[in-house]
Amino acid sequence: MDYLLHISILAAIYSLAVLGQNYASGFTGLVSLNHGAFMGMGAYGLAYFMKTQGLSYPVSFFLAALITAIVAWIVSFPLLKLKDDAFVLVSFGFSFIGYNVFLNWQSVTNGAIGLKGIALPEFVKTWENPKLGFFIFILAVLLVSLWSLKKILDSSYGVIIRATRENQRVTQVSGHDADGYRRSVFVLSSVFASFAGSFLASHISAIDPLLFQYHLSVLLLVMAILGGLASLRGSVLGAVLLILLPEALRFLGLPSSVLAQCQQISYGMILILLMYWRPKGLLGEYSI
Amino acid sequence: MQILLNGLIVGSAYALMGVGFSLIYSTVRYFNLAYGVIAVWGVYVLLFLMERFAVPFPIAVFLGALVSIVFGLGSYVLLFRPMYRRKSSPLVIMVASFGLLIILQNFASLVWGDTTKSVSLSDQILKGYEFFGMFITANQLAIAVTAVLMVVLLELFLQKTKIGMAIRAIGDNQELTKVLGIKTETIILWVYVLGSFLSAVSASMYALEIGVKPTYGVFFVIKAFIAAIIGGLGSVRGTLLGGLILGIAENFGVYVFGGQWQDTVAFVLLAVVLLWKPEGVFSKRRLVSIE
Repeated sequence: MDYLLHISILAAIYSLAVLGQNYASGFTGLVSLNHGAFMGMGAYGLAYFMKTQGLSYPVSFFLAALITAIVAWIVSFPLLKLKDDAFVLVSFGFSFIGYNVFLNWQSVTNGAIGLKGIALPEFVKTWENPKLGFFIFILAVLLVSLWSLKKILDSSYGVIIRATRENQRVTQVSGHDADGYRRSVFVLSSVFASFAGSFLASHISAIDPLLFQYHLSVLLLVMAILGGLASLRGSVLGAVLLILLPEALRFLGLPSSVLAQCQQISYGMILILLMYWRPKGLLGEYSI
Repeated sequence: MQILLNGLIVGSAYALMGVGFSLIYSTVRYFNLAYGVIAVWGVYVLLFLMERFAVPFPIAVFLGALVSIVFGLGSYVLLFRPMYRRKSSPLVIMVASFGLLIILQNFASLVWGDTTKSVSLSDQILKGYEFFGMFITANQLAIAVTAVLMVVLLELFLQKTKIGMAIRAIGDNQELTKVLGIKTETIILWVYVLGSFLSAVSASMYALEIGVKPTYGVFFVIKAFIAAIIGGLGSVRGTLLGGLILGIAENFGVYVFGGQWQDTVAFVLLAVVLLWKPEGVFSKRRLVSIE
């Protein structure tokens, strides 16, 4: 039961992060490979403000998101000047820089050892099973996010950001500040990643830089593409499928020594097969 | 001065790596991210031959490079060419090549293990040399000599042979080359042979400095594309200079900020170049898409 709960919490957390990834990559066409670093900022931000500064959970949670948003805003200036391949490669570079900062900013992140003992929020501790409360809370956040993203995407704002994906120049000619719209999307998507990172930190209670290496950014993008680019339901589907995959591999009886590699190899295969046959993903509406 | 020299030597390995990457890009117009991990496999084969059969280093380099060539051609014929024929966009092919990178890297980790293995010229520890107050190890000397030799051979190949000229022609204008009756398909196969060979040789040389590890597949291809973009994609001489610049910048960065920021220096350099001169410092043609 605890195991099922653990998997469900992970699936919900990743769904939240993939929603952010898909909001940027699917709906707006910003194929970024640095959302893993944003998740790391959420996780480290929460841990730092709670553990080192002694602030309360909600305050730390939102401060972490605020800092992530500011960093995303700064990073977006060089990134949004680039397109397609160049955008992907430079954002990939930012995920490396993020990892290096987590690894080397000793006074905040405690280097390679990382931070331990990150608590669950206070209000779920009164529950009989705090983890169950935590799961329901994340689920609620996920549903609210889905609903508000749907509202955003159905609004005129949502129409314009999809227009910048299809043709930036035409959008600009029609009098919209395309870069401004894209920047706002990038920042909002980083906030989703930060939320997911904070939740992940309090779920697993100990974090270290290896968790937020470039693999995580790749995983988020693979989840978004697998579920379907520009599809909200697809984001959740992709996250759930790829969270279940390593568990399925474990049930197949693979020894744990090769589990990590087999997991990565299956991600690579999924990526190739999708790119070959269905670049828009299972439920996707848009192809990169 | 010592930093400059170290930078030049590391840079010459980056330069070779970048040239292969750049040549492949200029003929097929997509980024092949599996490029680095193919070289890693070559280095592992080299190491295996040296340890198991005591094959001398130079011969082992060539045999390792042969394996890389097989991998490179295989990836093109089985994956990239079919995708290209289906008219997949360059971005889609790049993401697929990233998938291939992950697969080959993890296979390497399953087969050869995760630890860093060191590569050396021979069993004995070779003495270094000192000149003009600068110090150079035997390994570094081997890297520098090989790089110069490879560049000369490459220039001769590209300038003097028919295949070399055809490669340059495709880089300039693919349609026109086809119209002239040159078999672009065959030439692209040749480019994959050449590119995989260059990447394997340069990776073997670089492994003398840092050893080899499965994750170096990502590391190598990153250095290669940064060198290629700094120099201007498709320009051989530009990429050579780009590799040297990258090597020098990294070594000065390490000197100023410390070794842990090496990758950060490289990526900041890449971002600066893409924003300031997206066509590359030494090229006039703009290949990277940018607003």
